[in-house]
Amino acid sequence: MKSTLRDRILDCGLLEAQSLREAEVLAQQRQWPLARALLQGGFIARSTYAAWIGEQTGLEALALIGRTDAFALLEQLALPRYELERLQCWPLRREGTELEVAVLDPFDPEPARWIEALTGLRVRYRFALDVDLAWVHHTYFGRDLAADTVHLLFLEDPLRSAIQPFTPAQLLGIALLLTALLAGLYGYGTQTLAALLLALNGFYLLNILFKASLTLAGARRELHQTVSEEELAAVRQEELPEYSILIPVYREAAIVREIAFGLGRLDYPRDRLDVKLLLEQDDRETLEAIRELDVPAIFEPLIIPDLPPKTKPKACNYGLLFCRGQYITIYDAEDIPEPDQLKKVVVAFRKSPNEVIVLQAALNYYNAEENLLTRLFTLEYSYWFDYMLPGLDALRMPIPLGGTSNHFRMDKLLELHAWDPFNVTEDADLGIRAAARGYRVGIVNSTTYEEANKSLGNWIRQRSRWIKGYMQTFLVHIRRPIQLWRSLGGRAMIGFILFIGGSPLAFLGHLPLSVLFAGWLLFRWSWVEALFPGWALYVALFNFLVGNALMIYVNMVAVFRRGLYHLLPYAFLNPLYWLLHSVAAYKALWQLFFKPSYWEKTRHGLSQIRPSEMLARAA
Amino acid sequence: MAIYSSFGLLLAYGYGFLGREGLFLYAKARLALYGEPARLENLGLVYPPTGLLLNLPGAILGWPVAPVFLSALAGGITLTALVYLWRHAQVGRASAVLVAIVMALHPLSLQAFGTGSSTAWAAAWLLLALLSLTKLLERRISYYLMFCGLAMGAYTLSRFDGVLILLLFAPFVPFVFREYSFSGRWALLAVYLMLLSPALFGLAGWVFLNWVFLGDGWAFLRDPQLYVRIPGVLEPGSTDLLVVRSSLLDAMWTGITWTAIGVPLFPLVVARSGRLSGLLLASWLGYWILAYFGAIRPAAEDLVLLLLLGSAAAFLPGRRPNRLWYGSLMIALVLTIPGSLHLLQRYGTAEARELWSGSPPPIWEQARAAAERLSKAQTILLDDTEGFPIVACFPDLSRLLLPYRGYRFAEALAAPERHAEALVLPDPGYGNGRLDRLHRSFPDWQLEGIAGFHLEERIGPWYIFLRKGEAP
Repeated sequence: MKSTLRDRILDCGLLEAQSLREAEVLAQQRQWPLARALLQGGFIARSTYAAWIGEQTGLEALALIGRTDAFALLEQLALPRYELERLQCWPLRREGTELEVAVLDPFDPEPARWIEALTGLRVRYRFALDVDLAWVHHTYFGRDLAADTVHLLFLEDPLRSAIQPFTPAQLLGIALLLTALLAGLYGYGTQTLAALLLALNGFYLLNILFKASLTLAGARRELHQTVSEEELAAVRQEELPEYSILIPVYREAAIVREIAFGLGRLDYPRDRLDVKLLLEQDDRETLEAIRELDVPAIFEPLIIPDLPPKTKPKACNYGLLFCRGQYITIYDAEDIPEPDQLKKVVVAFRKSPNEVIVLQAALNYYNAEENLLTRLFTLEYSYWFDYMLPGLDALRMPIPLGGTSNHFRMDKLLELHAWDPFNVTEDADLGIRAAARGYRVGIVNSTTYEEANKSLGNWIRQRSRWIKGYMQTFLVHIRRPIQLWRSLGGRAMIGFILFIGGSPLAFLGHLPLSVLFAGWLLFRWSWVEALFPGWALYVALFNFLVGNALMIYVNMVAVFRRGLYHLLPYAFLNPLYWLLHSVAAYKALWQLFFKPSYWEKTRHGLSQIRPSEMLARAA
Repeated sequence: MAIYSSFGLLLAYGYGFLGREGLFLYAKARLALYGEPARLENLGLVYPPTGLLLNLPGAILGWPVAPVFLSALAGGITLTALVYLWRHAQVGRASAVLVAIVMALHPLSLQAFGTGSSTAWAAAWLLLALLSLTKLLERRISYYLMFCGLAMGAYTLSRFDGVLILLLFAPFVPFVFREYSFSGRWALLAVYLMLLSPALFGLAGWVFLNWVFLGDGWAFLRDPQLYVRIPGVLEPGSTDLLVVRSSLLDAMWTGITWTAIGVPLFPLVVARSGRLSGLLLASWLGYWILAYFGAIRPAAEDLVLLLLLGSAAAFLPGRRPNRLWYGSLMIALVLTIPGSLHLLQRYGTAEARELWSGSPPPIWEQARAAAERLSKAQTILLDDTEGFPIVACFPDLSRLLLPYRGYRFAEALAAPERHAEALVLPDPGYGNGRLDRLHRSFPDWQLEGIAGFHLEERIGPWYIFLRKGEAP
C-alpha cells in the first residue's frame, strides 16, 4: 500500500478535487488525519467510505462497540491517549510479535510506524470507522474525565447543585407546612381549604398580571431585530470565529439522517464548525445508525462514559471538555436551525454589551399540523418564545433558557461551571445562575425547528421532566433567598419567583380547581360555595374568566404573528391542554421526591413528517 | 391629554360639573364595596362593567370626583387619538389640530366627557381600536391587531350597544385583510378571531356572571337603560321635551364623534376598494330592514350612525374626502356650538354640586328617606332618574341592586302593591329627565296617584308613596 488515501481518492474519483483540497485544509487546521477530516467534515458518508475501503483493501469495517476485551492489552502496551486519538487507531489483539490495530485510514503508515517504534511489535491493520474508534477511546479513557465533570458544580458550590433536591432546612419547612395543613384540615376543614384556595387564587391573580405584562412587553419587541439583514450581509466569512455545537442524543437512531440534514443547512464555514455528537456508551442502536449513515455529516462522535446520572447536562459537560469554539451552542437531535442562525449570533454577540453571555433563539415546530397535540404544542411554543422570553428580556428579568439553541460565550460558560448534571432542566438553571452573577441572557431573532411531541405518553414524560426541572431550579436558587435578592434585584427576583416557582404551582393548582369548577357547574355541589366566601369568589371568578381568556388570546396572537393562521381556532382548546400540564406536574412532584435526577427520555423521530421532506416541499 | 384631564378636574371643582352617570357608577361601586354585606357582583352584572370597574379605585379611596377625572381622562385620550387618526388619514396637521381644538372645547365634548364616564370611555376605546387598525395598515405589525381586538373588547363592555357597533364593523375586516399581506380562508378567519375574540370573551364572561349571580345569563339584556333611550326616538311628540332634548344631545354628540372617526377611516380603508360602498350600502339597507320589521330598535345615536354610513356609501367609491367635505364638517361643528350651549343651560348641575360637597348619592338618600317612614324590613322601589330603577331592601340599604336575585321587576311594575312596600318617584321635571321604567309605568301619577299606595310625603323633588295596608 504505497499510495496515500488522497491519491486513491483522486484516482477513483470518490471526491472532487476541490472538496478534497478543503478536507486537506481542515485536516491541517485541526491536526487530523485526512480520513477523519473527510468523515467528520462532512465530505464523505461513513457507509460510502467503509464500502470504498472494502473495495480498495478488502478490509471490512470492524464493529468495536462493546469490545472491552482489548482494554487489558492497552494497559499492557501503555500507549498514550493523545496519540491514539490523533492517529485514529486502537490496538485490538496481540498474536506473538504481531499486533492487530484498528485504524481509520488503512493507507496511512504513520500509526504503524509509531506503534512499532513504541512496542517493537509488527503491526497489522484492521479497519474501523471513527465512531467505533471513539467508542473504545472514550470508554477506556473517559471515565475519570466524566466523573470530574459530574461533580464540577457541586464541588465549587454544593448549594447551587441539585444533587440534593432539598436541603434539611427545606425539608423541615415542607414538613412544618404539611403538618400545619393537616392539623388545619382536621380541626377547621372548610376554613383551611378556603384559606388554601384563597392563597392559590391570589397567586393566580398575580400570575395573570405578570403574564399580561410579559406579553405586552414582548409584543412591543415584534419589530425589534437583534440582527438585521443588512448587518448579516456585512459579515465577512474570514472573520467568523470557531463555533462549537453540542448535539446530545440517546436512542435517536431514527433521526440520525435528520441531524446530518440540519447541520448541512448551516450557513457557516465548515472549517470553523466544531460539532460534537454526544452518544451514550450503551446506545448501540444510534451508534450503529451512525456507522451506517449514507449521507455526509459534519460531526465528531463523542462517547459519554456510562456513569450516573445519565442526563443531558452530564453529556454536555463531558462534550464541553473537547470543544474548541469561541462560542458554543446545543441542538437537540431533531433540530433544524435556520441556516443563518450561527452568523446572527456572532453579530449579536459583537453588538451586545459584555454582560450578555448567552443568546436564546426561538424554538418552533415543523410538524405542527400532525395532530391535535402538536398543534397545541406549537401554540404554546410560539407564545413562549415570541412573547414570554422577549417580555422577560424587555423587563430585564432572568430568562430560563430553552432546551436547545442557546448560544454561549465559551469563556463565560466555563466561568459558570457549565451545566448542573443533576438538574433535569439544566438550561433554565443556567439562565438563573447567569442572572445571579450579573450576566444577561439575550434573545436572537432566529428560529430552530423541532419535532413536536405527537404521542400523549411521550408528551407527559417530557413535560413532567420540564416541570420537575423548574421545581429543582426553584428549590436550588431559593436556598439563599437574601443573597439571590441582592444579586438579582427586586424586579428580577419577582420574575424568578413567579416564572420558575410559579409555573409548576400554576400547573398543580389547575387540576383541583378545574375539578371543583366542573363539579359545581355540572352537579351544583353546594359545599363548593362554602370554599369561596366573599372576596375569594370574586378573585376566583376573575382568574377563571380573565386568566383563561388572556391565555387563549395571547396564544392566538403568537401563532398569528408566525403566520400559522390555521392554528388560531385551536387556542380555544388550551384549557384542556393545561389539564395535561397539570397531570404532568403531579408526576413531576412525585418524581421530585422519589427520582429527583431521573431523566425522562423524550422519544424523537415519532413524527411521520421529516424536516428534510417538509423543507423540500416548502421549497 | 393631561391638559384636558386637568381641565375636567377644574370644571368639577370650580363649577360643580359632575356627571350623573359618573356619580351613579361611583355610588354603585361604593355600595358594592362597602355595603353590608359587600356585594361585588353588583359591578358589571347588569350595567356594562367597564365604567363600574374603572370607578373602583375612586370608590375605594372615597373620592367622588374620580368619575369626573375618569371622564376627562377618557376625553383626553379620545381627542389625542383623534388627532393621530386624522393625521394618519393624510389630513394636514393644521386641519387635524383645528378639529381637535374645536372638539375639545365644544360644549358637547365637555358635557359628554364631564358627565358620562362610561360613554367617554366607550368613545376612547373605539378610537383606540381604530387607531390600532390604522397603524396596522400602515406599519404592518401584527400586535396592532391585538391592540385593536383588545380595545374593541373593552368597547363592547363599555356600552350596551357595543355588540351592535361591533357587528357594523365586521364588514370592514375583509379590507383590513386585503390591505395586509394575508391570504387564504384561514387567514381571514384568523383576522376575525383576532379582532373579535376579546369582545366575545367579554360577552361570554358577562353572560356567565349574570348566570352565576342572577340565575339568568341574559339578565343584562333587560336593562332599563334600553327602555329609557327609546322614548326619545319613538315618541318625539312627547310632551316631555327634556327627554327628547336629552336624546338629541346624545345623538348630536354621537354624530360628531362618528363623523370625526369615520372620515379619516374611509380614505384609509375605502379608497383602495370600490366594493366597500356596496357593502356599506348593504349594511345600511339591512339595518333599516331589520329595524322596519322590529328585529332592531335603533336608538337616536344609531340613527345618526346609519345616516353617516349611508352618506359614506353615497360618497364612495374610492375617493378621498375633499376640501368641501372638510369644510362641511367644520361648519357643522361650529354650528353645533350655540345649539349645544343652549341645551346645556337646561341642565342644572345644582344637585351635582351638592353631592360634591360631601352629601351621599341621591339614590342613597331616596332609599333612606323612604326607609325612615317604614317601621320594619320592607322593599322599596326607587326611580333614580338615571334610567335605573332600583330596589332597596330596608333595613339593609346596601342592597341597592338591579335586578337582584329573586326580584321580578316586570311583575313588580305591573302590580307594585304585591311586591313593594314603598315607591319613590321624582318630579318629572327633575334632573335630566331620564325617567326610568318605574316612572313610565305610572305616567299620570301626579293626577291620579298610584293604586294601592298613598302619597306619604314630598321632599324637594321626591315623592314617597307607602302601601296602603298589607300586600293583597
